[in-house]
Amino acid sequence: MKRLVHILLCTLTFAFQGLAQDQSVSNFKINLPHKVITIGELVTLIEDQSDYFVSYNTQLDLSETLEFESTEVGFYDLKKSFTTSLFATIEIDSESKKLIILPPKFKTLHGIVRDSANLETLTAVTILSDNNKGTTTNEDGFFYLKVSSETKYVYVSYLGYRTLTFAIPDKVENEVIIHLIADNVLPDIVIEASSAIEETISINPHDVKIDKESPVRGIGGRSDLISSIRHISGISVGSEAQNGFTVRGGGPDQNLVLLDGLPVYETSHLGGLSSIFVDNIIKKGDLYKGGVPARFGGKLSSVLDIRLKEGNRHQVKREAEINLENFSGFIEGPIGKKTSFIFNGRKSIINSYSNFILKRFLDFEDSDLTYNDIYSKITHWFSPANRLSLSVYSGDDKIFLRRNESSTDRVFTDSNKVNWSNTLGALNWNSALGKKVFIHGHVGKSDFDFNSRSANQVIETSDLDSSSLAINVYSRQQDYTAKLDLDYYTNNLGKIKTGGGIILHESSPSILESQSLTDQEIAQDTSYLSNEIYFFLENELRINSNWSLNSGLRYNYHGGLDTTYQYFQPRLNMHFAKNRIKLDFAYNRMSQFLHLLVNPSSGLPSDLWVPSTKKIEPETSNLFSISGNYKASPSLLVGLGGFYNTYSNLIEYSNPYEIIQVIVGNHLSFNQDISDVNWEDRVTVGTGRSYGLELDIAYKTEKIELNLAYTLSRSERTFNFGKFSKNEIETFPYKYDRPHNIAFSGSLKLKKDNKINVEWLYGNGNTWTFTDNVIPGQNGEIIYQPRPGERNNERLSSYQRLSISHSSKRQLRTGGLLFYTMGVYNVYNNKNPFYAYIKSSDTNAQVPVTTEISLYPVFPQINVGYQW
Amino acid sequence: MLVTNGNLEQLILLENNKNTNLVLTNTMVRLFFICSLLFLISCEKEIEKTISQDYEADVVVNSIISTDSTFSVQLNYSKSVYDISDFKPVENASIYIAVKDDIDDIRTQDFFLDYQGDGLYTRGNNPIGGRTYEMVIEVDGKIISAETYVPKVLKAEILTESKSSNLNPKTKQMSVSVEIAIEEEENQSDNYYAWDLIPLVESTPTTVNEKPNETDKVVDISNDGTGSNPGGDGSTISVLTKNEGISGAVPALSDESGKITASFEGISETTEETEDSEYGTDPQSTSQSLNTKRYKLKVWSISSDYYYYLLSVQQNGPGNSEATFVGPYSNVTNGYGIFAGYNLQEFELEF
Repeated sequence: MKRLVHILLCTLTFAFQGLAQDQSVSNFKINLPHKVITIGELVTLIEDQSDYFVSYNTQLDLSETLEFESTEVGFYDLKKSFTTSLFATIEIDSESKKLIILPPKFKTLHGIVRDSANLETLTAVTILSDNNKGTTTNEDGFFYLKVSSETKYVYVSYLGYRTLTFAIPDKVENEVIIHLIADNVLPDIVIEASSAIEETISINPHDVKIDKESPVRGIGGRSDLISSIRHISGISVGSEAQNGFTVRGGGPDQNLVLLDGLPVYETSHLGGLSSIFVDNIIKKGDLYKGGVPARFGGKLSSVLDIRLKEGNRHQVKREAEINLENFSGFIEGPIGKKTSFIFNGRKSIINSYSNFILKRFLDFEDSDLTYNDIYSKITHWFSPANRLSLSVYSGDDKIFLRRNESSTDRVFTDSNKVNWSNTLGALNWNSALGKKVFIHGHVGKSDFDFNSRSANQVIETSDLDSSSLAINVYSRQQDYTAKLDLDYYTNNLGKIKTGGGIILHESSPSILESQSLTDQEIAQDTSYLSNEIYFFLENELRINSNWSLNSGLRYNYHGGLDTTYQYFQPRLNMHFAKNRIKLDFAYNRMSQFLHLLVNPSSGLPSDLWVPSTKKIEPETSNLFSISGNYKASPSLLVGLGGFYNTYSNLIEYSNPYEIIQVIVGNHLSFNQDISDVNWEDRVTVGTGRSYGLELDIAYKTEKIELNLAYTLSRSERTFNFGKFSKNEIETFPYKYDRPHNIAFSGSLKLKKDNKINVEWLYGNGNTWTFTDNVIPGQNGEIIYQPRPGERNNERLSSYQRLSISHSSKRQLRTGGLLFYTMGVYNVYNNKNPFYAYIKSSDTNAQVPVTTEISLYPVFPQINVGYQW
Repeated sequence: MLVTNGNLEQLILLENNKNTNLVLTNTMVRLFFICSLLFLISCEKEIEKTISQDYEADVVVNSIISTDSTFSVQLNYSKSVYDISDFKPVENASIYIAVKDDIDDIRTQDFFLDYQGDGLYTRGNNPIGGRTYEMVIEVDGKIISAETYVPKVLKAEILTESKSSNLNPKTKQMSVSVEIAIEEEENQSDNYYAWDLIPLVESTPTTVNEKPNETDKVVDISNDGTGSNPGGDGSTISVLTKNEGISGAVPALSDESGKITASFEGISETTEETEDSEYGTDPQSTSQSLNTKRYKLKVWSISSDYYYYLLSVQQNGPGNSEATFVGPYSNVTNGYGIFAGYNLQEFELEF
């Protein structure tokens, strides 16, 4: 009985004390000047506004910040903020009037996330703790995460992989290596729609899918990276034989394409037949069409950051593939325990049948349509988070067509040759320095070599007199790059990325006319050296559970050709995520030092890369964009966005007459022209703007996957052509202005490893100029005279194409995997325009007829591969 | 087993056969051919345009003036290219010409032109070199104007003249070369010149495959010498300007004595077979040598307006979707066409 009474009294005593403490807790209130405040300021405010003293350990960092939901803060608000932000506990002692901040109790986790099958590091993997603290891996698979000591588990998730639950030990000293298992390794796993659908429309960057499962196929039936990019809203569908892409009203030359950190100047083979990016060697492609991080620069419209795989570290894997366009061989594997390699070679086979067809049916006496490319990479791991890799790419294209046309009085020979090559080599070093720092080092060289020759010869049959004319264009762009940057994971300021680099440009542009029939070497005695130096600072900060901010500043220095330019480029990307809604607000300022001088009049492939000069400043752009996603159901995601982009210092030829006549006609090569004659005098500087709305809809279930991207936009340019135009200042639609652009793709899973793929593209055609207004010349001859406002007044027919294919794979008894795609490209044989010209109707000379030439009619796709 | 009937059914039956790859390959070879035909034959699509019914004609001026000819202005209306009738002349215009420079005797050069019919307006006065003229046209209630500079009479002298053969051992090309010195006009920031080198004497060719009555020609020298203003006879001439360098092998600019030197070069043709030509071998090719001895060198000093007009007209055409439209240069306000001046110097050369 006594014992019972004692227990009762004790209980009452504790209850009374608790009640007393609760009263003092509920009475505790302070007012903050703002919601975000440092611990030092908070301590001062508590002691000023209440009768409590704050007791804390001297190791507590008073400069760390806390965030509150309102400016009126009670004790429980304090406690919550300390716990979630600092993993620390705060207690109240009402008797002694003390607030005691106990030391933080947390643990950190750092390491690498890899694919379990081949040990490739995985980028942008989400690592989330059970109390909702999270981070993502960087470009090299590295992560750092700080969680409270009570945290038991983290969840590691990545699109296409099984989500891994990882139990955190109480003490983690060394780096953790997490292996994720791909979904397709365990065939019975069902991809849960709700987890995958959110990744289907990524906001920034756009994760470009390129694998053999992709519903989007190139002409040959093989998955193609550039073709996949066109299924993102804001990216132009393009036109026939154009494998490049335009982003949000910019030009094809305004996209920065990086391959393992090196710039690529030409991304297509044989006039857009396929891209140079092979699916089985590419690890990841990130496309930034807005909110470009500060570490990227040099182009105005977008960044496509492509990274090559490192190679399988477990076993040797081989693959052979053939289609109507090319055949290729692929091999990857380990070299010892710490080194891996990867190699892919590809060669076109079009020549094997095109020569016959061109000669038999199209009267081409001689032709050559070939391309080939080689990728190789070797990587050595000094430790799981310290590796050195050497990447090499080499590719070249050759197009040659010669045709004779004979009449009773003359023989006309037309000969066209276009050759280009890309050669890239990069050495990359990536290493973790301790728990919180990751460092990247890079040196490399990119060499783009382009030359074309367009020649014709007329032989009079009466006297065998002949005359000939050839235009030779040569453009070589060599970039030498070196950079060093590091990721630093702070406790409260998120991830900080900083670094710098230098790019040395060597530009060698030439145009030369000759009357010689033979192929002439163009003297390359003059090259123009210029350089770019840059530094950047980026910060990825998670402000609270809903808001996060990626901000950055880039300093760019452009030097060379007796002038220098300096730019500070702010970058801002604000993310909001709550329940089913994600929002993204972005601003970026970009500059572009190299200009592409676009062929002004002749239709020859004579675009030249030239550096900025004293008169021609680097191009700049300012892009504002907003994007949002709404998850309407576990299977349906809807994205909506808009953008407004302004451009300045764009260039056009002010008088297109002179580029051919003076530079070419007077036998002066272009390089002489730059140094001796001031080519800039013939160029006018203008501005541009583009704006639009973007809609993305994704639907994904176990069997069906549908994606729709629609862009409604306008893009225009304004130039002052001075005395060379009847309308001095002209605002006109840009060549790549596409008011409507639709890309649809879908796949239906029939049964295991069998899929039907559908792709449909629609886009308005390129703009061009036509006039029916003519005036008499000095001798009454007809001269075409465009009227004011007629620049780019015409539009090619819209581009539209439906492709349907069936893809399947089968495990053979030998252990190898046979896979194939069979389908039809351009199912309803739409004649997509390659180019157009005006002629009179055959039946009525007074009726003008636009004649459009198209290249790719309905065409079978057959791609077969074997993997072992 | 070689499969000659590569239908799908047979393909499936053989799928697990060890010849699977062979089957696929042979099937593909046959499909290659079919695909290739489809793939490489380009397609044309013709779209009839709608002709605008509300075409509005503008006035077009054609007036090229020189000190060795009287003032003359041709006025026509523009038209649609699908209008097959001739250009309609402007018959009711009032044209006034005035010297714009502030010089004492300018009043003698201010006058109206007389209508001669068929859109032609003239006056029996010659322009004076070194003057800027302004033309004002009143027609159909509109005021059309233009102004141009008439260069002074060209002062030039021949420095060297030569003829060389085997300029290029591969092509067996030959060339004639003339170097002249031109005295620059004072107070002119830009001087523009055009030139033409014309063979005057025909000679007997030496040919490998005897072909009688052949005439030697020089490439780029297509003018028969009858035109007085550059390009006035419809021929293609070379146009150059001091600022952009002089045509020829050696662009040489000199400012020591106010003279510029120019090397004019005409490259003769050859039809000799060239082994490494990308055109291949012409079975009818011949080898010729040139024996032309006398040439006429015409050098025009032209206004900047004329320079740009000549360049632009040479490249004019209906255009296509892959080329920036090259419209003709015009210095006429409120209308189209050209009002420009020039001066000519001729030299006879004998090699």
